[in-house]
Amino acid sequence: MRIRPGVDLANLTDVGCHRQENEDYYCYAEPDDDLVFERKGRLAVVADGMGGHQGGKVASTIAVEAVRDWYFNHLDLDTHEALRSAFQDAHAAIQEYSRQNPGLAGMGTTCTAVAILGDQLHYGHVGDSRLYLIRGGAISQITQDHSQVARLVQDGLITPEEAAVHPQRNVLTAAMGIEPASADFSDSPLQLYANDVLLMCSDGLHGLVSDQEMLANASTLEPLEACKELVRMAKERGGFDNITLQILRIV
Amino acid sequence: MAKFCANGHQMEDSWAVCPYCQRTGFQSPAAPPPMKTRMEGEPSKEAPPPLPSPGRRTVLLTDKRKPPVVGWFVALTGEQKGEDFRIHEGQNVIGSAPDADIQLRDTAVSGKHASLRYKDQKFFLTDLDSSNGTFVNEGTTPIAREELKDNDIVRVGEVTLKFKCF
Repeated sequence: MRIRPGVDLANLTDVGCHRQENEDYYCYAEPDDDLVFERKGRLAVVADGMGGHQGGKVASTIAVEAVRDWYFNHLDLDTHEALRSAFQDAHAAIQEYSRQNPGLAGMGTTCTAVAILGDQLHYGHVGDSRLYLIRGGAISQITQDHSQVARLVQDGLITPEEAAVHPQRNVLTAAMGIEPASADFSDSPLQLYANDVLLMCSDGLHGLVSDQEMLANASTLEPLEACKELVRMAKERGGFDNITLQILRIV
Repeated sequence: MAKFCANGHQMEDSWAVCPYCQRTGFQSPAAPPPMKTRMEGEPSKEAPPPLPSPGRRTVLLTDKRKPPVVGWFVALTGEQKGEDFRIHEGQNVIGSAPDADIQLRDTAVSGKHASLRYKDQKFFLTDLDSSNGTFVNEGTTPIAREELKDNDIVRVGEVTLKFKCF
């Protein structure tokens, strides 16, 4: 794939230290056609699937492929609308696939997608994978987890520190493919600047590596080196889940 | 020079094939509609502002919203004892199939066991040729089609359901 100037991209996935299967899936896409690129820009997606009998792997793969295909196939829709309808299509596609393959019933996935058109960012998000923005030496979590503990933190019942080690921290309140599903979308586009760093990851990373550690590595190392180092840290600390991350530096 | 596969997965220079690519064989049915021309706003080029905390909008992913709730079943026995099931306007399929509207985890319940239909302020329960029959209240003979009233009891397989409506 040809990646046009404008971003420095790196990504990495790792099965971790305990799982047999990697149920995460991800993509980065730019259309081949320059005219399509001018209208749709770039897209990066991270999905973390769940469900037995290969369900997790299937759900995350369908999510990534369906979001990407829908997004780039609908030239008439603006970025926000294309992302929103792409998520709806992917949600329906996962449900349809489990209807046809009853052994996969109940499968679902997180899905975090970023579309960059020019210097404007839009995102769509469901589940507990995350999008971070690093700018001027600070890191900000752009997406909010759809998880029970995130809700407890919002309600002021537990602290973020307690949430990080909470036994129920893997329980999601929304997932693509599972009814009733809802997703968050950026209200207005986010303006990007040179040297901004976007970091997208599954909970296999953010469950074991702190925001400050992501900041320290992603802002000092080249994207690929940062990916390798962050995955190494997560594995050194147990690597309980699959680990996937993408780093995009705006140049 | 960094190397990426067709799905945008980063590869080591020595790799000929991407080890991360997965395929489900799933094909999105989307067909590209015609292209319309539109002006893009001129992006501003000022000093980076502080980290944003952008607004977000939550959207239901289900396109077709379910019709309004008109009643409930509550499981009185079995593994799902205490669980309640919403009954929507129109047809509600009761069964053990994953796509049943009211999904019962009971081996004596057929995939599509019975259907409860709400129309014109009346509820009608119809057996869908189930293997073990559908029973209402104290009845000992399986029903074919029967009107349900508030507080009626429905038995399918080993599951007893209490019916509630407005």
